Amino acid sequence: MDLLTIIIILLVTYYTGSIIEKKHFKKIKKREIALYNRPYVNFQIKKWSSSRKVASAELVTGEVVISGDYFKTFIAGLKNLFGGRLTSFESIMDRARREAILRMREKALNANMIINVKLETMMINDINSGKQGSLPGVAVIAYGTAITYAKK
Amino acid sequence: MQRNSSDYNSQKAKFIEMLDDNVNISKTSDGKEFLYLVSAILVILLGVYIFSDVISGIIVNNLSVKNRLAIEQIFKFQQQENEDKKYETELVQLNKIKNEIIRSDKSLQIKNDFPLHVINEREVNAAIAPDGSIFITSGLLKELKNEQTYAFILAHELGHYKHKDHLKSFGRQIIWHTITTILTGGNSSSGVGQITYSTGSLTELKYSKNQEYAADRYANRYIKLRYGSNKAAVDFFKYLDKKYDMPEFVHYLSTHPSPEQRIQKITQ
Repeated sequence: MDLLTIIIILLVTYYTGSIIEKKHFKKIKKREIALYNRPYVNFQIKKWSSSRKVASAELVTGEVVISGDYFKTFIAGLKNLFGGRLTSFESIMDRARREAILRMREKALNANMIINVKLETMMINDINSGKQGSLPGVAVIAYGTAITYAKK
Repeated sequence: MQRNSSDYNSQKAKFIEMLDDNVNISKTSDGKEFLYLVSAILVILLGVYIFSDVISGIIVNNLSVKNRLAIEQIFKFQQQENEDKKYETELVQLNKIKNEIIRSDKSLQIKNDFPLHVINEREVNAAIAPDGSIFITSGLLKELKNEQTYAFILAHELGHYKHKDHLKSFGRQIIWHTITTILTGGNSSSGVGQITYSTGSLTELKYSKNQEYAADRYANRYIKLRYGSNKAAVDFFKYLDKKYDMPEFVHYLSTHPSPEQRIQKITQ
């Protein structure tokens, strides 16, 4: 009976997880294309100069907390034995990073550009805590300085 | 200006193309990887299972009688609540049958006694503990009254004892658990741990089907010699088949083979 429960949970979470992931990627892609011509760069403000007058420079942030599903965690657990890339978590990391950057950029829609973009991550839940049902979650924070030029 | 705009468009097209295919996007699908990893682990576990089965078989077969009895004492079943007083007349009859079986077989005489107990349970069942105690459910005594059937059931249980089936399954489990604990690091919450522990419950099915067939053959041979026919055994399996009407596939996962298969094996 134990085995059956695990198989059912795996099937369900594989199905739901892949649907959610596909939807998320689709959304991310749409938003990235929409923001295509709004620059965001990661050089420092000291090295930047402009002939235009800057009206404001303010901090913009975007955070996202994202978790792997049961299925992805299960595969990662299996990989423990053989080693290798945790590909099931790579897609989660990809989603988290892009989502965080997008949120930051969407916060600065009125600005002309974002400079000095930085990314930070942290684990929300430890996979090695040994507790049953603990899911690995990752938080990504993107922050930068939004520059708005003065109107001519 | 014209040139700039076409540059811009081709850059944008390149960018959109890159969104779906870049170094950060893994090419392997989760489902495929899952199947690959699980099948690899199952192959390893099958190897471990066969290994522990063979090794425990070799060890148990070479056990001396003295060591065997000593080990069996360790695995003594805790005394269950029994209803011996209520079924005294049946117990006298059963003991008589049991003693006849033991007298007919020298390899059962290494032990002084196989105590018989009746336990209060409606299900029709019987079991033998590693220390030789035989348990019979009150449901069995109520439903079946035939002496030859009793002889078949008792001989079947004593057949398990004669073939050292319980010791073999203990040995198998000890080796199995040792190896899988080393493999998983004792962590049952990881993916590997979950697979090994849940497949491990399948290895704990008390006796394998082959062991059941062997015990059936032993009991069948006995009642054929003693009573001249194995009609009682066939009737008993037909009765079980009727009582527990289960679809055939359920039997693959259960401890005992299906009654139909058991009839086939003893009549051939």
